[in-house]
Amino acid sequence: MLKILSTGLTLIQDGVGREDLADVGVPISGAFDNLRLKQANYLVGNDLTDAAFEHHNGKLEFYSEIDTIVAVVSKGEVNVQSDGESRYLLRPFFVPAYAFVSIRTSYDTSGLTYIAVSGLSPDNILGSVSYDTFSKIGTPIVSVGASYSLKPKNLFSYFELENRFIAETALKERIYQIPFHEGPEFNKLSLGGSLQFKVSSVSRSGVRFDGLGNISWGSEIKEIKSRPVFPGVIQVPSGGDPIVLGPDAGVTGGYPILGVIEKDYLSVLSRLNAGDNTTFVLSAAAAKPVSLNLAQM
Amino acid sequence: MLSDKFLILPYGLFYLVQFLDDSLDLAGVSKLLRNNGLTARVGLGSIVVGGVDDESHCFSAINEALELISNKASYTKDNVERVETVTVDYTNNLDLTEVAQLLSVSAEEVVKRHSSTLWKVDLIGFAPGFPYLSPTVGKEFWAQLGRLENPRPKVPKGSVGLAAGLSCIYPAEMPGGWRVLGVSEVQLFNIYSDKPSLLSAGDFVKFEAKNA
Repeated sequence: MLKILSTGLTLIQDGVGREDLADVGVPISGAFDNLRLKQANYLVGNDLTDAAFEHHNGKLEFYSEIDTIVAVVSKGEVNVQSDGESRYLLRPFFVPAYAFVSIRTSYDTSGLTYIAVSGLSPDNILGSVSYDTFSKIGTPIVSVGASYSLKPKNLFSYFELENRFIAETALKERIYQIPFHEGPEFNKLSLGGSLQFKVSSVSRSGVRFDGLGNISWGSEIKEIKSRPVFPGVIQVPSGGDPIVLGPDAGVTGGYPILGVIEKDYLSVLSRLNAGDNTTFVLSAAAAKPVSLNLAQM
Repeated sequence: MLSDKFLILPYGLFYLVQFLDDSLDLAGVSKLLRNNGLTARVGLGSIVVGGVDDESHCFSAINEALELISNKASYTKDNVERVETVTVDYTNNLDLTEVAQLLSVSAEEVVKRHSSTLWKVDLIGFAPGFPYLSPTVGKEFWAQLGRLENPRPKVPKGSVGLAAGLSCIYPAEMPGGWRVLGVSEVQLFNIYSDKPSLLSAGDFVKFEAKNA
């Protein structure tokens, strides 16, 4: 078992979420930064979409009752220690049984940290371990004293994994342009200037932008009845400040929809900070795949 | 793309099909689309369709489903229309008096009409198990009510609400902008059940006054 000693604000997420329950009002949830979760899992030899800790801020501290392997992937400044010794981000490190692991982010550092532990296997609820902050479904928020199963699922040894790493340049990328596909009200919204927006806030429910007066409802927009929405949808409330829905957003919405962010950029949006400047760029028409699970968006 | 029954709009890599006739069985259409290997999610008066090659393909698929539904000789619902009876304590309400004033009838008349109407589940959304219910009769009467100007930060679990011509039941304590007529004890969502949501689109709900 893996035992928690201190938590900060930490959730447990997997890379899949709840794919098929939108029809009964359950958000997809899952890792906000799916790419970083997969990177962390890769480093410890887990399946890429296995459960990992999604750490928002503060100090997460734990120990394992068996030898294990841990990796920490983050965009922010994070202090990682194991048994009192500093450890690198973006590389796996061996953790002997009962050694304390500590991951600390400062409370004013935005962004998410993913901590993968080899074989982490929390109980799943409705097909996923992911915790949904909106409907509060899933493996509960990590608390002091909680314990989780560890079931190493593969034959990787630390010696086979120790040469894995993630290139550090991945941490320093800045997002200026966000591609999106047209939505139902794209032609009914007044795009006064460019599609430049400033990030207001980032949360699992969504990323809010300051519209800077560049977008408003056109005269054609009337009351919109609730329709299905999903992560990546760009809604525009009447004030003209867009919201890109996150993994825990509700599954229906009645605001005009400008478009839908290209799938891979949702992970990237999770790394934005309040105050960042962005430009939304309309993607060229993409060939629609023959079959596509709505949940994959 | 427009027909006399629906309009197709782009929606990312999907299509939003807005129906112009609000009497159509969208749950049935959605099921037929899924049977043909497409993905479909129902909204209020709309369906989001995925898995089609292009707009023409979407148009054909929708037309085919609508023809099948309208041809009663060849289409039969394979599930019996399900009616769930929900007991409501109308004395435990937040807005019944105001609702009666807005509808220009007595509070007793509001309760009588609400509990004698058969309500159809159009959509489960907003929260796990949350049903959007449309009245099978009296649509214009109920459409007179809007949402609260200032949504409440919390309404009790089981609150039965009215707004914009629809009724609802809150599955848990949560923020709410609908006018609350009463409270029920129905369990709408159970994570440990094989069928976690009590209601599905296409079901019906009949409200019954507690101690009636």
